[in-house]
Amino acid sequence: MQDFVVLTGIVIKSEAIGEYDRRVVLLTKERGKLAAFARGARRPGNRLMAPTNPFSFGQFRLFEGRTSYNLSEAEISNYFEELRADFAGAYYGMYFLELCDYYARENNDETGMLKLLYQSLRALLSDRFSNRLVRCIFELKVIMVNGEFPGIKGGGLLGESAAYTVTYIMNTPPERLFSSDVKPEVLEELRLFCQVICKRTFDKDFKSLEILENLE
Amino acid sequence: MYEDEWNRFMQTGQISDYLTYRMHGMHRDYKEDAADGSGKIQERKNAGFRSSYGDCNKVGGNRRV
Repeated sequence: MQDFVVLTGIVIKSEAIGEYDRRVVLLTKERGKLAAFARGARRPGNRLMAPTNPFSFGQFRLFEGRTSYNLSEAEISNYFEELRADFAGAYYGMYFLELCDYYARENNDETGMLKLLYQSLRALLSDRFSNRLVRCIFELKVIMVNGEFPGIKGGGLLGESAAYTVTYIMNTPPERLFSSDVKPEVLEELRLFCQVICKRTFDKDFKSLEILENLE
Repeated sequence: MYEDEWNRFMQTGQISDYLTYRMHGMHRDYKEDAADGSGKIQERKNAGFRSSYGDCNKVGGNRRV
């Protein structure tokens, strides 16, 4: 008898395999990052076609094969469909997914990362925050969640308001992070601070970031 | 809709792939345009010259060019 597991997560990567199948990478709350095969997901009309797209968030029913997970069903609660119509938003979302792919590990508890990603994607869709601010908050928080944030003492770039904002990001859980906007001058300070911190922390060039930099 | 195009864009990050995805929904036959009474010619795009499904020489309907 096959053992099924139901995991809450989001599709962070999807690639075509063979003629009709797909391999998806999921960021899940319970088991961290994992790869699963969705058989027949590229057949027209297949029920796994939509749930295996990047940004699909919901519950995934998987069974454990000998060497891999196989996706059998999915109940998607949010497809983040609006990101598809927003060119810049799609790139920001893509960058967030790439960062999660970089940080997440298999069989880790990635609840914090998943919450942060979900809230950040929702914030991208909201008119209340600029995409630049969402990016700054996401970058800083993802570094904090993974325990690599050096603190604000070394960042001489920060004024009083920006330092307060960084402290707020540090001490607030992901579900309450996106509650208020900042002034343009504070955002600029934050952006420069993020650049320094990211350069120091990440040892990889992100494909979507190159395009984002040109867009901004 | 148009999952393949969207997935390709998500993999490559190329603007051209995004445009392909966006343009997919916009390609309509002229017949649909004429239905709204705009007076456009009722004709398929590229009829007889190029088939979007592949090599026009392999499509019987296009041989009369």
